[in-house]
Amino acid sequence: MVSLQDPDQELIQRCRSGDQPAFDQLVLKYRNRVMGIATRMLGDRVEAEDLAQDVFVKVYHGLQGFQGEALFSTWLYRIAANSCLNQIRKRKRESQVAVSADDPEPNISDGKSNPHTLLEKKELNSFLEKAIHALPQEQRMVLILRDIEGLSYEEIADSLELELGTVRSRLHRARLEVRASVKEKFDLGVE
Amino acid sequence: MNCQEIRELSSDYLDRQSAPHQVLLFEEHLQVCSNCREEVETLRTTISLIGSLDEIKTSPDFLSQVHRKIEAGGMLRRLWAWFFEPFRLKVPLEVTALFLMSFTALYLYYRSPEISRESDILAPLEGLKLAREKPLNKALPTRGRIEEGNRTAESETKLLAELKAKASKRKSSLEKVGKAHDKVAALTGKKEAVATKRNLQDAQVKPREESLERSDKDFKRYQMAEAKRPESLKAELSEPMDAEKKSREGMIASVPKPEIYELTVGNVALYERRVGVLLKEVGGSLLSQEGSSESGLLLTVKLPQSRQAEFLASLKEEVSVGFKREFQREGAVGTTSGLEKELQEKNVITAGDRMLPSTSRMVEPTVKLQLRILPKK
Repeated sequence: MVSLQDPDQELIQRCRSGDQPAFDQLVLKYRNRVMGIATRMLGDRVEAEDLAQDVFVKVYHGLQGFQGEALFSTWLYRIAANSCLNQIRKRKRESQVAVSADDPEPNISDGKSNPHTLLEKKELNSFLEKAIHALPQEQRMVLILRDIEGLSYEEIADSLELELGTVRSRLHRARLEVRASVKEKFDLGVE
Repeated sequence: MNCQEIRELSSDYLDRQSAPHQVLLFEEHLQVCSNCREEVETLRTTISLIGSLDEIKTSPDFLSQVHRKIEAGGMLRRLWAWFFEPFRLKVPLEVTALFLMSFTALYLYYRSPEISRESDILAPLEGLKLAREKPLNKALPTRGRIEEGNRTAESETKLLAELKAKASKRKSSLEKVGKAHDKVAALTGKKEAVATKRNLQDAQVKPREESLERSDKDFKRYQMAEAKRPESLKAELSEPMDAEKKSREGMIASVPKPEIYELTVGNVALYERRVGVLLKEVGGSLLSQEGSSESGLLLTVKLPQSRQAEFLASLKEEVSVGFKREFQREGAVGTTSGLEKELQEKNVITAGDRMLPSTSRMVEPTVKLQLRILPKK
């Protein structure tokens, strides 16, 4: 039974009935989130995409067993997080390579930003990605889920099967680390 | 709230995870502490910058790739589900089945005749026995069967040869013992005859056992005859009876006493010469002579058994006076029925004659007689 508050309830029901398009919609909705988690955790885009595809294959086969005790997104992130952590353990090393050359285009929200600002922003983003990738994997995962994916503390605790206090402490330490790295190079401009 | 606490709780404050009273305290401190205020602001900026990172997108064929993987893993997935789902039910059953199969296979393997350990360690005699019970093991290769058959045949031949050799040895040893016994009994006293008799007994000659049975019957007949015998004769025959008893009881062989024929003649010396002539005619010999012509002679003679009747008949013709026969018992060997029958056939004695059963040696074809030649008075 799927939670009544789950926005994906209908799609899940249709998927269980064998509705292929419903599954496709789920994939299209969450694919970039899973891709972002995998890329920032593994540090390699190709490997991350392959892992992201595997995550959705697992979701496809596991939908019949999904009881709806949590939101679908929580369940999805749990699969993604565990897959990433397993992959890292399997490799027994962390890639020092940041996001590859074909970085996505910056999300320009202010049409009035001058090129110098854009360049700095691009450089800043790249530096941030590296700083995040330099974090320990436990802190990294929490930071990504909270500050990039926007999950709540409870959702993160459910997805990673952690205590709330653990989530808070790991998140805080991760933020402080990233801030320290950025402050060395960039002026964070506190008025 | 102090600066340390501010630093520790800044993320909760920024994420609106702090309790309301904590928020008040936090803000009060920030109003008076510029350092903490800067810490909180830089942290807020960092969080904002992280949140503004670009979304990483998948490749355009991401969905098709997912479909492809689902299809490719479908068969494996179905097989997995068929074998192991539901896990709690199928896995224990499969493990149990695997265990039973392994056990059965091992059991049949060690029970099969080709690799039976008994066949590998059979001793030759055991192998011979096995070959007799199961002539050929068809599972063996041809060469192996032939070799095994050859070994079997050779073993059997050996065994038979050994048995034959033993049998012939025994036979010859028995014959030797028997001859020795008779020689000793003829020439000497009881002791040596007893020893040879014992040897015969040790050899467990079967005919001897049969002769014992006949001797029992003869003894019973003798007892019946003895009961009817006149008193005057019983005393003379008591000694042989005792000897016979001893022979039966102690299995001690007595020296076979010769048959005594008593003749009353007119001229003892003349008759003595006549006995010598008759003896020569039947191939006999005089063994000993006691007494004198005046008082009477006791002659011990030896002659072939087959000529005994002839000899006695000749004597009978020569003797005008009654021919008194007296038999004494010999050792428990043989029977007198043959002699008795022969004498009747030769009309030496008649059926009405009272004859004591006696035994004669079965081994030697000669008999020993004693002739008491008494002068007519």
